[in-house]
Amino acid sequence: MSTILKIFVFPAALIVMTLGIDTILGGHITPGGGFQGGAIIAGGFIFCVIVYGLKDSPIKFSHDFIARLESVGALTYVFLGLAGLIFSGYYLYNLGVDLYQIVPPFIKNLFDYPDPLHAGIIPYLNFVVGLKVFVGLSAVVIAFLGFKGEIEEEGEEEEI
Amino acid sequence: MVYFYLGPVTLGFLLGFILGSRVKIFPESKLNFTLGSFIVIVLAAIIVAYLEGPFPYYLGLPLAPGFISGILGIIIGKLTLGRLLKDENIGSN
Repeated sequence: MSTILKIFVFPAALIVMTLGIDTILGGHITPGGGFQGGAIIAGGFIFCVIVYGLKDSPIKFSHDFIARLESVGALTYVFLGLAGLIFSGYYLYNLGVDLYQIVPPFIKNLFDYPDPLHAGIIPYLNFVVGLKVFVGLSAVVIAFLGFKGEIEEEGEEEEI
Repeated sequence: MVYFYLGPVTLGFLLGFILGSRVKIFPESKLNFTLGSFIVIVLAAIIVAYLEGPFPYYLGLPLAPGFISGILGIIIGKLTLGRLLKDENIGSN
C-alpha cells in the first residue's frame, strides 16, 4: 500500500471507531444502535487490517479477546432478559422504565440509564449487541485474511 | 448550566477503553505514530464531536458526549493496556 494510505488510515480508523461508539450510544434516541455501531467499529478495524496487513496492523484482535467479548456480549444480553423474567415475569421486560409499574422502585433505579430520556435497559442491550457485532464481523475478516495468507504460502511452496 | 450525563460518558469510555487496549504498534511494522499523532487525533475527534453535536434532548455542551468519552477511552486504554510488553512480538497476541 502507498505511504499516503499508511499515514492516513490509522488516525482515520480511530475516528471511525469512535463514530461507531457514538452510534451505539445513540441507539435509543437517533437512528443507529448496537448492530450499526458495531459494524462501523468493525469497519474501522477492517480499514486498518486491509491497508497494513494482518501482521503489521496497529489494531490487533486476538482469538482470546474475540472469544471473551463475544461471550460477555451474549451472556449479558441473556442476563438482562432473565432479570426481567425474575423481577416482572416477562423475559426482557424493560425494568428501568417499568411501564406496567410492577417492579419495586430500587430495581427500577438499578436498571435506569442515566440520560435525559431514561430509556431503561435499551442502551445496555445496544451496548452488548455492539460488542458482539464488532468482534463477530472482525473475526470474519481476520479468518478470510488468514486463509488468504495460507493459500498464498501454499502457492509459493508449489512454485518452488 | 453544565449538564453531565453519566450513561453515555461511562459506556462510551468503557467501549473506547476496550478498543484502545488493542492498539499496539510493533517496532517491526515501521509505523511511526508518536505522541504528537495522538494529540492530533484527539483534536480532530473534538472537531468531529462539535460538528456532530449532542443527541436530541441532551443539554449543555455542544459536543457529542459519547464521542468525546470514546476517544478519551481509546487514548487511555492505549496508554495503560496498549503498551508492548518486553518479550511481546508480532506473533503473540
